[in-house]
Amino acid sequence: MSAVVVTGLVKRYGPVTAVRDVCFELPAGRVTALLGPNGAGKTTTIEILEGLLPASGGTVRVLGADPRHGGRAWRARIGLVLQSTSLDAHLTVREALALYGGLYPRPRTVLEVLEIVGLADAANRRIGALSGGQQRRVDLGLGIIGRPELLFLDEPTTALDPEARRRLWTAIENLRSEGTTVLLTTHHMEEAQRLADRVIVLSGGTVVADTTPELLRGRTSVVRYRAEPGAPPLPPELSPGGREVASRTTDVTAVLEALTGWAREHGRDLTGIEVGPPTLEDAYLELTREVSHG
Amino acid sequence: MAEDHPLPSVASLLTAQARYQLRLLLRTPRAAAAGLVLPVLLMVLNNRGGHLDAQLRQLVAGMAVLGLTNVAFVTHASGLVAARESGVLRRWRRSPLPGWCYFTGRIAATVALAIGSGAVAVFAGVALYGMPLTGGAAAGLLVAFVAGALTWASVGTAVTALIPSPDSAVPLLSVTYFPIVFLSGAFGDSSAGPHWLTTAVRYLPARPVVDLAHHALRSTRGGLPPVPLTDLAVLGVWSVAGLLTSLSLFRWDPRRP
Repeated sequence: MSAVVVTGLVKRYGPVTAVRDVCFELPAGRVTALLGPNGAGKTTTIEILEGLLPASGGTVRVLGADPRHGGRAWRARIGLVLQSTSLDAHLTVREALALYGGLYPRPRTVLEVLEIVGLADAANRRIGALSGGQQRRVDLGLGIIGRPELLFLDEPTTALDPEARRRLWTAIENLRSEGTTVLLTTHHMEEAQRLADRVIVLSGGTVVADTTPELLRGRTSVVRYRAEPGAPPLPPELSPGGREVASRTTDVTAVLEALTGWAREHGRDLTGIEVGPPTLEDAYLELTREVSHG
Repeated sequence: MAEDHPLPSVASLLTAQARYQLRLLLRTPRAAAAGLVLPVLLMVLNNRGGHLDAQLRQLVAGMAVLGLTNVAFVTHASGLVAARESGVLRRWRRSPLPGWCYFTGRIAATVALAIGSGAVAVFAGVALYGMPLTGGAAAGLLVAFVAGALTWASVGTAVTALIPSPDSAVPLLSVTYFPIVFLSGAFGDSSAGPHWLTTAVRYLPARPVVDLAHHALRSTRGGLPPVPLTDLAVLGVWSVAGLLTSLSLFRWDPRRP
């Protein structure tokens, strides 16, 4: 069963088409990452799904309804963390959570949310006095307090320190284990790799990949090596600049042969060479580079 | 998940909204400074001693209306612009709270604080200058303050559509409202101006509030004095105009960069 169905979605801003013919479905109970460079159409797409923007064309169904016309009961099933923080600076964290919790039929307790987002110690502080990262966690707390079936997270870990980011990842994994469907946009590939069951890559307003992280990474390997300063240039077929190899290949042996040949010829060793599977970031960068170069 | 559990009642949502909005207003320094302190300060500075009763009533009514309009127009509208541009309104709009509940709660809190602002000025007049205040006067003032606060909050909501940013909100709102309040006689007799101006001022939303308050303060009886219906009608027209304009022009979303 799909929580979200998008068919032929188009969004225009005057003469500019920000999103063109986008189609995808979000399976219920899964975490899907919407990836893409700046201006790819991620936030526009997510805001249309949230009901904040009207579509110029196509159809969108979110939990079975048109998001522009979802009523109170429908909105109570959705959680939002918008791209920028949107909080009343004069409220305390506890007051804000209690206020928003009162909107929902079966909210989490304030204490539970404070624990999830790691703000128990700051519960009685005014939101305006919190750091940017702490305010982002309040945003997340408001997004999840209503026990949403579908949670939209638009770059939720922006401005978070590494510890807070990992805490939030754990919170998202717990939400998934409770059956929450999550749509996440992020620029952190490590985040998508850890959390996402599925990735959708947008570029230039269109979907260029819709697959699992494993399939996007493919069955290739990556060889990485950086020559020492003063070393002769590396073989041009491996390194156009002559200094560094970052080669994604299905034939690791051939790349290693070329590198060891170069090392023997020039009396160099290959200390620091790395061979392994590509990260999601490697695959993503390669994909978006291919798309941008036509 | 949620369908087995009923949504919270509208009454509970409204109560929570009004309390939340009042809390925000009370924590906004400009609301207290401009709405509660400034009118009393101006009243003291404007009192040169030896006021006749009529002059004192005019002064107290004027300062009460100054505070009231400041809260209901400038504080209310600038707060709305700040909430819009910070994305707070956008979040509320997509929450399960009905949009009309948000505004009802917000305007109820604004009217409550505006009444409090007017009341502080009146009690200052009583405490500092011994101005008499009957039960009928208090009831008449309440009518004036509620009608005035509702009108100015309605107009303030409408003009937020014309204000691009929080930085420009207070200057734009002050420039808009202060001359109207000044010409209304809030700072003293304004009947010396040209006829066309004094006539026009009667149909702007400040003079009717000053007149209603002044009329109420003249009451020497215990019951509610007769309310000048023309003044109420002018305020009613402005309220409806503000409401209709808000319904067609109000923006929940911040400007796109």
